[in-house]
Amino acid sequence: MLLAVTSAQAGIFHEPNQSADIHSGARTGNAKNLNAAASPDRQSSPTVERGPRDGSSTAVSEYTPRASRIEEERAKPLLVFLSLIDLSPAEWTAIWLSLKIATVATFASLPLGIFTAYALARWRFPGKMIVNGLVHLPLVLPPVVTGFMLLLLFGRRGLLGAYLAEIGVVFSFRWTGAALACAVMGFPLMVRAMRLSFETIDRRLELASETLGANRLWTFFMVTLPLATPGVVVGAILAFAKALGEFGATITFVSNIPGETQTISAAIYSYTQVPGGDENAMRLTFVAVFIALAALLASEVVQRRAEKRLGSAD
Amino acid sequence: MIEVDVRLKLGAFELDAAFRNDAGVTALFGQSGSGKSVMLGVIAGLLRPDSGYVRLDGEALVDVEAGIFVPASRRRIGLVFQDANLFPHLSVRQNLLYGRWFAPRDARRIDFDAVVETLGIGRLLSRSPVRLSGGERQRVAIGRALLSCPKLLLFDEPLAALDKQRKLEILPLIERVRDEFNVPMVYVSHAVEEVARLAPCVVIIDAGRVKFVGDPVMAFSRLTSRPVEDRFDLSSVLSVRVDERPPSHGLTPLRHPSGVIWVAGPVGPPGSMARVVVKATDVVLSRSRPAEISARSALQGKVAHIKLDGPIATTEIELQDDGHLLATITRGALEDLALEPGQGVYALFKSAALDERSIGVARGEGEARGLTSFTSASE
Repeated sequence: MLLAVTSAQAGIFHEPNQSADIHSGARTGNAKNLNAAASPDRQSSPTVERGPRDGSSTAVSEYTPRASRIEEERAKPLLVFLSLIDLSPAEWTAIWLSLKIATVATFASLPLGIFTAYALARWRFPGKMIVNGLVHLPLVLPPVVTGFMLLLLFGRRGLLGAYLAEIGVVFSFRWTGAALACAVMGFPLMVRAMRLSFETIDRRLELASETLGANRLWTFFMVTLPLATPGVVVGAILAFAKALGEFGATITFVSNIPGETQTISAAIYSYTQVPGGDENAMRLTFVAVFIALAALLASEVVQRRAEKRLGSAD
Repeated sequence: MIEVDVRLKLGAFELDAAFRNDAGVTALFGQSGSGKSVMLGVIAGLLRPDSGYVRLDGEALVDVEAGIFVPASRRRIGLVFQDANLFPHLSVRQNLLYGRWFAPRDARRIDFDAVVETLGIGRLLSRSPVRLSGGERQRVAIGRALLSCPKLLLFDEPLAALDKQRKLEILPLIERVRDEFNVPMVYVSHAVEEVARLAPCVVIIDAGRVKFVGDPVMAFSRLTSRPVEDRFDLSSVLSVRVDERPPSHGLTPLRHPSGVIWVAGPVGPPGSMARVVVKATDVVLSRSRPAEISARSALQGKVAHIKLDGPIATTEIELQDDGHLLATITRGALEDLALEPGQGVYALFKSAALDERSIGVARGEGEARGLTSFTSASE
């Protein structure tokens, strides 16, 4: 019903204004310029192929009236608020893509994250400090540098990318590449939370398990991992939240292609680069805040429940 | 049959100990830091010795020279920790069944219901171990170790973290486990009462070395076998026979060849054997038998050894016919009584100072299971 009203109003108040022109412009040629503007260094990068893939969003023009419509409706705050949630298909695509990329990045890096965290918490091995440093590198490096390094490694003509391309695994300018970038950026956060969790587990519980006949592997899955679950979940949620917000490395590595690699963050960035895009950016900002809050709440709930169940470790 | 002969260096500490025993329960006794828990870790497979071996019923669990090391998970040795260490993410029932699940099918000879019944933990099964009291937790821990159907059950000071009341509750349970399930045990403790009650064989460990192996009466009542201890920790063990209780007062006479010991309360059926623990600081020495005195128990003997330590003199009394008793007195008393080795004395102690509840009685008609099968394996 709301849709009907707003589109009717849009019909009434629609003027083919500046904003609409920009949008239609973006559809034809400017999208390329936007992308290029977002990652100027790409032009000089030797290992990358250029440009967005074909058949990206054609939906941009569908919501062009909204900007003007909102201006007219300033007097009706409730309607304005509701209309913020009224998202265009292109925006839904960005949100869906963000969630997909973040979910895949989180779950794909989970086993390696758990393994790394456990190894760092429990094992003593040569080069432990180097491994620790490498894991934390994305946390301290500028994201653009991380993205560029990914490009050098996994670009179609990159060190690993060339080889992977031969067996059909392509990361560059695909959503899978965005997931890879997000996984790398979220990895230090994930490992930190999990490592702390592993470190607080009483070693004697694992010894008790071994004297009861469980070998190391069984002990890990029956005792260590269940006890570390709160930390593992928190680590995963942190990585998920990081993946949702990840921008620098992603846009450097896989560009900003609507429908393929344009996440919420990248879409907001694109909107802020065009005049009159603020309202659209605002809408997506609300969505981003909502998802982030939900993730934080989820981690809080998981932690509370775990504390209640496991009691204070006395 | 357990045979241990191991050496292990851990920082400044060095364990170099050997003992063997085929009695049901072996107690490892020593002060904290003496190495008894390290020894337990070696037996359980949680620590690797530098050299030596551990054999259980002739089968090597670890033999450094032969290159054998069976990992803890395949030794089938149950370990009861001092602080239970129950899995907080599992229910009591799941904790109990944890080890059973890993035990070979044909080795699951210990019945779940029997263990639950013996330990009195039936109403705890669906609860979380986090919400249990210390005593309840220790019961579950004993059940968990027992239900893994081990070839050997190790106890690492299982009562040390409990208050006196809990100790008096759990100790009889460990006795019942010993008697009902027929699993050999190694029991680590620094409490004479627990060891005297449970174990027919005591291994005294001092600074990483075995100082004495033998029955508790011999182990605790001789100065030579004791490590240097605080005088308040010093107590001796007497082997006695429970006599018929006279109807008046509710006191029980315990007969020792050198005299009668009275305790305030019932102690098992008449005719059964028991071990009484007497604190060295509770003993009064007298050259003649005093007539009018409230101390009810007087044992006759003669001074065997005197050890001087500043103002304190620890004397070992060789009791008439059987046993020894330690008495801590002052240097002043020693000189006034002119005590010297060979001097005949009466050792007196208050009945009220003996805790009748901590006296364990061997089951059966006087033919005590643990008490008659002392196998001193001292080398």
